[in-house]
Amino acid sequence: MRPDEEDGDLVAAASAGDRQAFSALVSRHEHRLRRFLAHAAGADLADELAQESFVRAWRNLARFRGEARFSSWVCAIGWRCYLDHRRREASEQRRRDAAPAEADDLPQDPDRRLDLAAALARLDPVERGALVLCDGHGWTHNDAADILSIPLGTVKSTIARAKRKCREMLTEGMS
Amino acid sequence: MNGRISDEELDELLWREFKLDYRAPDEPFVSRVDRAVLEEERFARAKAAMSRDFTVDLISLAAIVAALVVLSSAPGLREALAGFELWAWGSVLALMLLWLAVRRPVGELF
Repeated sequence: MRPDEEDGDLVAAASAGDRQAFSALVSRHEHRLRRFLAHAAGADLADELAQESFVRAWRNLARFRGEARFSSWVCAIGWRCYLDHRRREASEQRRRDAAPAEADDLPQDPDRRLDLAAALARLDPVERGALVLCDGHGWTHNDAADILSIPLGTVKSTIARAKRKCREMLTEGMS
Repeated sequence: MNGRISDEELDELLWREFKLDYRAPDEPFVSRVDRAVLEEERFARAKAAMSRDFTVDLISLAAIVAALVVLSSAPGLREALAGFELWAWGSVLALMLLWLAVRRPVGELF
C-alpha cells in the first residue's frame, strides 16, 4: 500500500474525530513540514507555525476532499500560517540579518555554506518557498503551485529567478 | 577563489542545504500538537455551549416579553399595569437579569 493510500484511511478516521489517527498523521508529516517551514520562515518560527498548521488542519479536516495529498495540503496550510504571521509582524524588519535556516550538519565548505544561508535569507519568501519545495523536498512544480497558491508558470519563473539571485549573491560573497 | 558559481555547483549546494533525511517521528512534538488539538476541541465545545445558551436565553426573554405584551392587552390588566410604579418595573427587570445570571455556572461569571 502506498503512503498516500495509508494517509487516506487515517484522514477518514481523523475526520470522524479520531485523534489517534490524527496523531499518526502528525507523526508522518511533521518532519517534512517543519523542515519546509524552517527554511521558508526560519528555524525559530518553524515549530510554532507547524503546530498552528496542524491545529488548523484538524479544524478543517472536513474540508479536505482528497484531491491533493495530505502532505501537500498541510504544507499549504503551513505556508498560509507563515504569510499570516508575516502580516501580523509587518512592522518588523523585512529582511533579517540572521539566516532563516540553521545548518544541522557540519558544512562541507564553511564559507560557501554561510553565504548560501545569507543568500537564501535575502530572497523573497515566495522565491525561497518555491526553491525549498522543488529543489530540496522533491515536490513537483504542480505541487509547489498548489502549496504556494501561485500559478504553475509563476513557480518555474520564480525558481529560475531565485537561483539567479543566489548565484549572483554567492559570486559577490566570494569576491 | 574567483569566478561564477556554476549551475551544477549551486544545485549541489541547494540539495545539501535542503535535503530531507529520514528520521524517526519527534514524539515530544507530536504530543505537543496533540495537546494543542485537545485544547482546540475544548475551546470549540465551550464556544458551542455558550452560543447555544445565549440563543436559549434570547428566545426565553423574547417569550417573556411577548407574554407580557399579550397579558397587557387583557381588559382591566392594562389599567392595573399602568399603575405600576417605576420601581416595580425595575424589580421585574432585576429578577430577569438575576435569572440569567444564575443559569450560568459560577465559574463562568468570574
